[in-house]
Amino acid sequence: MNVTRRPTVLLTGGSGFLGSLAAASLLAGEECDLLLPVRSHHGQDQLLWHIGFGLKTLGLELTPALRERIRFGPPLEAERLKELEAALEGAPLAEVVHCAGCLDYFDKATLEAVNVGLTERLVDLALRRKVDRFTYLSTAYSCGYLEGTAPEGPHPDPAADPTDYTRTKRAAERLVAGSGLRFQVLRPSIVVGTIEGQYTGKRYGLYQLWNGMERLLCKKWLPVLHVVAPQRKVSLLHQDAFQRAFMAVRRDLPEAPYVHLTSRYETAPTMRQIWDLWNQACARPREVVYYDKVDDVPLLELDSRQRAFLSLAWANLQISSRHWHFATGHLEALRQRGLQLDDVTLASTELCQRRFIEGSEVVQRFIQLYHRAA
Amino acid sequence: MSVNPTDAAEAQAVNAPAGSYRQEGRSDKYYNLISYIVSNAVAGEYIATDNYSEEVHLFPTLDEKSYLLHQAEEENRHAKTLMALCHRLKIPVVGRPVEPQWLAVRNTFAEAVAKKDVAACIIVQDVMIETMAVVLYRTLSGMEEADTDPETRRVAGAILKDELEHLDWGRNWIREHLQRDEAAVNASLTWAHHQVMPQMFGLIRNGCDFLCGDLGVECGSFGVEEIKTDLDSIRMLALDHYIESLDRSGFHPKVTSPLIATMSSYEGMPAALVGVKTGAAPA
Repeated sequence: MNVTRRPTVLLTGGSGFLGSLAAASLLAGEECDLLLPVRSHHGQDQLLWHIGFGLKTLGLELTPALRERIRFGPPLEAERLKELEAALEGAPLAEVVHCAGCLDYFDKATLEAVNVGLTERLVDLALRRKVDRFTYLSTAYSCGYLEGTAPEGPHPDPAADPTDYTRTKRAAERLVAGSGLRFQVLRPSIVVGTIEGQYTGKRYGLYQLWNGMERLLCKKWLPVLHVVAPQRKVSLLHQDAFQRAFMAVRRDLPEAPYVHLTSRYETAPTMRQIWDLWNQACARPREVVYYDKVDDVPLLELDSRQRAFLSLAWANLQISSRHWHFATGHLEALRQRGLQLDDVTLASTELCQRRFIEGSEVVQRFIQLYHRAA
Repeated sequence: MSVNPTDAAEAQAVNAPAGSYRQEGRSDKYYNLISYIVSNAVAGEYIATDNYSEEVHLFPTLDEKSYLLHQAEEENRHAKTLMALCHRLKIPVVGRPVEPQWLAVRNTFAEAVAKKDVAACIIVQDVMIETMAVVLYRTLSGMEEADTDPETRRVAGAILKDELEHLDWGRNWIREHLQRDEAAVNASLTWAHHQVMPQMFGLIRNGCDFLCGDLGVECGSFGVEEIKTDLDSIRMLALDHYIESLDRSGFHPKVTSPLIATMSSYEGMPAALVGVKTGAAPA
């Protein structure tokens, strides 16, 4: 029986990467109980491990006292929403922190169902339960393709979207903002490992790129490598910096409706530098042919593995070919108040890459075979 | 009448006592895997037999009709050859498609026939299914570093030759028709790709929906490591061959690359623990 007077926060997407980090941050920084919808007992164990990892990053342990503040609820399926509401009986619901989302660029139906449909249902639940606040974890890229700097404010419809992912995230932001609830939209950029290079997410973002290189470019040594590597900054954020920023924004800027969470633009590596890091550490081709856009690559002249790599990474390469700049006034204000955030730099990216390479048998085998031969 | 040397070898092999073709030192897990893979191959041949038979009326010339009927017969013979292989190896085989992916591919083909979309029919059967068949038989015949027994290698190698011919016929047909109506053929490709390729790649897995139950083997108790390969290598091989087939059919990379991009999500996004001690996290 819950005898505490702590408010309850319903946190969705807790079994996801950023959701589990958000859960750890809430436990570490706020006096609240968490209700986490999950699919299975196995899912609960995994989730607790990830929350524990997030706490460790903040210098804490998942103690029995903290564990007691976590409750698991039924999964967020439309037909089980009543069960979820029943789980909320007797516990005042203070807030919804909505981190669940679909990231599959090409599954339009699921993007609509999860990013828009689920958000709609949760906003409805929040209104009925009269919550104090609704926090939505969006993405810095919800602005779509726009000229100049993306503001920390609502986004109008852009000229185009890179994928349906960004469009549906923007649609969800609008649902939250238009609900009449007190809200906060947090927009992280691409999250990479901690400042120590430890990463606990799925292979998205930079890890998707490295994963593609591992699977497709580490079978045999390629003397000439064709890479789409514009000299454009890539907006990244360390996962521990995400947690610290998340906590600080909630503590010190609770009324800021839209906040971008990303490293300083000046320190960020460019796509060209990210490729050069890989080529130095692993691929070591005799010649690298750089392109600014995927459209510039003479695809028919490439061997099938390079073709496959470029094709599979098509959407992300197109995104990286564009200029992205996000306003970070809120984070700057927090830094001025003393928030210590490790920016992503070329050196910290190199450390993340080194950890990836160390953990990959395929890359290690490639290095042993081909570096020695070279 | 000339006798196909493959048929003659096959006839001789069918009459051999069951079990005598098993290779010593191969485990039960290995033969369970072969039973599973060959049953899937039989399903593919069965579907191909139906597909070729169903599309005959869409082709106007007698030569084309005759060729397609010949293809259907050949695919039917492959199915029987594979079932005979299982008999010789004394392993169970399911002689019909049971996995939902195969049934979905068959439905897609039937839809293309109903729409009288001949290009889509050719793309589904002669480019997509045949490409995957080539990958399968190359793997079973030991051409892709996979380690299989001599009898399986021999049978797979013989079927592979026929499948390469089918693939060639389909690619030539597409190349010719791309020159006549590029937009329509590209549209057929886009439709077929989204319908068929997720299903075909969905079959590259350890485990099943129904097949293992029908075979009487324990699902998940064996995997492709029994033939010294891994699922990822097979997927990458399939991707290589698919890209090559599309190129050789004459499709422009500007059309095919965005389609191939969608394949990055077929298997879901694997979790990664980087720089974290292994064993520290729950599986």
